[in-house]
Amino acid sequence: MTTQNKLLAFGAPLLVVLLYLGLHQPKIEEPPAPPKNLPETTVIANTATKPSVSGSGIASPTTPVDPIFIEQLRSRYGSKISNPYVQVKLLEALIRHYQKTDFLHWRQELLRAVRAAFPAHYDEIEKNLDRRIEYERWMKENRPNLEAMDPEARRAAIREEREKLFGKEATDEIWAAENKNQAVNDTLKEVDALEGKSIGEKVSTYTERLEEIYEENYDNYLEQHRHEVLNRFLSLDSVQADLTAMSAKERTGALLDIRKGMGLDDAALKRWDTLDQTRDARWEQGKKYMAERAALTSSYSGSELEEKLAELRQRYFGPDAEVIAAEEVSGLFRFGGPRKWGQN
Amino acid sequence: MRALPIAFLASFTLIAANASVASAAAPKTTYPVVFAHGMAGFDDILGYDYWGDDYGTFVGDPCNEFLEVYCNDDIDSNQKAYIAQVQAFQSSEVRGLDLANDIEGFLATSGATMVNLVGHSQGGLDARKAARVLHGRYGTAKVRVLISVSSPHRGSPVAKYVLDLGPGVTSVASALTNFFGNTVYQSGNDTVASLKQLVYKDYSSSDGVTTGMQAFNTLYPVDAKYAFRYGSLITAQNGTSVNPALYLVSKLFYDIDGDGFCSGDCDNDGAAGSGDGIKNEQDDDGLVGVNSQHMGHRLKYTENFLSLDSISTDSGPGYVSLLNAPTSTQMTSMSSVINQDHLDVIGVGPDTFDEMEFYAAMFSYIAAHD
Repeated sequence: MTTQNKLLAFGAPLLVVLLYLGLHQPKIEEPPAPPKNLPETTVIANTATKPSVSGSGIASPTTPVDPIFIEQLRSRYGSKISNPYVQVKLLEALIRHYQKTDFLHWRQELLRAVRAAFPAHYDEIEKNLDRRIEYERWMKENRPNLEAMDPEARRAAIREEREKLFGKEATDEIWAAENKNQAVNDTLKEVDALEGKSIGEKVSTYTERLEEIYEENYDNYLEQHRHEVLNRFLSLDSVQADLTAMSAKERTGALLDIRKGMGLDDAALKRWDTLDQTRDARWEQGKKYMAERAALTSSYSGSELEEKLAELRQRYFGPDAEVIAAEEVSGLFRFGGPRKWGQN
Repeated sequence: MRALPIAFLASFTLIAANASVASAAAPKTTYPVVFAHGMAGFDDILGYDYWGDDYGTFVGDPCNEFLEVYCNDDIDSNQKAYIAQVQAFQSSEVRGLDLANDIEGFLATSGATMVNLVGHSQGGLDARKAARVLHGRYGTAKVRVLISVSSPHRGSPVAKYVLDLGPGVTSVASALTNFFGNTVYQSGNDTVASLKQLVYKDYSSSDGVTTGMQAFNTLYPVDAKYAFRYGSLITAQNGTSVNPALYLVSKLFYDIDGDGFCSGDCDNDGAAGSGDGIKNEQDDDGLVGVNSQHMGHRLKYTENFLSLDSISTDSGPGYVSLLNAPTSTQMTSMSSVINQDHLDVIGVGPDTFDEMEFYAAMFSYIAAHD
């Protein structure tokens, strides 16, 4: 379908709907038909069905909300319902549910359920529903502009809109995890840029910042994400450069200190020691293989070269020879690339 | 991971009385679950966290502290999970090797002897290579359950379209920059190699390298030797409903017709199979056609409001053991196709797809089979 045809295909029905809405004030009793091809997970700002009793947004119940349903909502969300993040998660679950079960009245039914289950938080949750809908609308409308920005500017623009809609405090609560993830990313960049600092000092700066970010949950965070924390540190260019510049003995000591700094226990340190030795042996073999391979390549050509290389791979890699061969025809020479200490 | 003030103790006590109606969490898997990301983002895809909900909470973080909020309370409190990290834009030969190395390190850190692997998009391809590499190194399988989500096992026409510099594409890098941002230009990336990987056949006979999914599938097959169980979740959504970022792809670049059958890439669109002549329908997820995604068991995702969602095996279309030779039914069946686009199932929002429940269902499925 061409772009022009698409515009016609989607534009014509849209025009009809817009004309309809312009001519008819939407009523709760007679909401417009739902759009076709409704995505399962798109929040539709169906203002036609927005309750408007006394302007409070309180729905007029027709039948009582199922008490078992209320109990389930309270059981799942009740203990944390004061948190705006939990409120938003509740709203998304209810939107998903009611847009499937009663699309025309989903908002009305959703608010009835909220009112029945969490009356003390009703006003706040209702406001967050409107904010959540507006946030999604804004994100979709502004996505092209956001994609054109550099990451920092994009984050700032999104944060500004979030704060405008939800307020600073609620924004901090709703996106707390994302903010922490971002803070870890920023820390890694900061550590990578430290000049004149030893690896030990970089480890200290890194773990101290992680403690500041995760506060009283730091131990739990580290327990859950220990390898991730370790791996991301070792991914830093400056850390790899420092390790490469060391003698083998110094490097072994530095890797041990890094791992201890991330809280690895003795058993894990021993496993790593074994793995380091295994990897060193692999690379040693790999270098020899690459040297022999280069010699063959300069001495033979065509099918004779292919035969010699196949024999060489078999001799060095045994059952993995087939994989090594496939990598090479794809352009990858695994022992021709850089050694990343503690990572390969 | 933030505990709420003690002021909520009283309400917690009341809630505890209602514990009988609380939904059970997914059982703990025997082995940790490793998440393998797709093209681009490790932890940041246009500012969103890849394996999180739309607010940055990792789907594999269990709630194991009192009244903890930023966690997945649908999974067991002792569940172990890990987010692997590979090069953002590279072939799956490179990324699969990266993944194998990362898993090897994770085993050393955690003490686990095996892992389960969940790969989204290209991550599902990387996972197959990693499973084989690890088997080669240790002489035994290190992967129990391997699940792909929205993975282009038989290629993606969008990749070929971009490589061909079809109308609207001025260069591979600029096309990917439009979609992924400047992360494309980070060191170590090879955007051309990453796209050639996702074309079914060898993209060019004159570029000096052999690439593409056909050769990759032969070398890194579905084989119980490398992983004990394989399964795939398939996504597709109507063109007008996909994420605007993906809609942009289909509007400006290419709208996939991805629900027809033929042997190999008979219509030369870059993916195995053909179309049924109708592009603008629920036959792709914006980047991958339905006929490219089935690997091993086809899995069925079922949402259950206020109780644990489930993932089960859909035996209807059968088991795809030969990735380059699926049956007509396996390429065209809409059975168990999840009505979501390519990015809905990861932390790109805002939307109302519940990543927490989706991945909790996956933990549950894995626990039943690992």
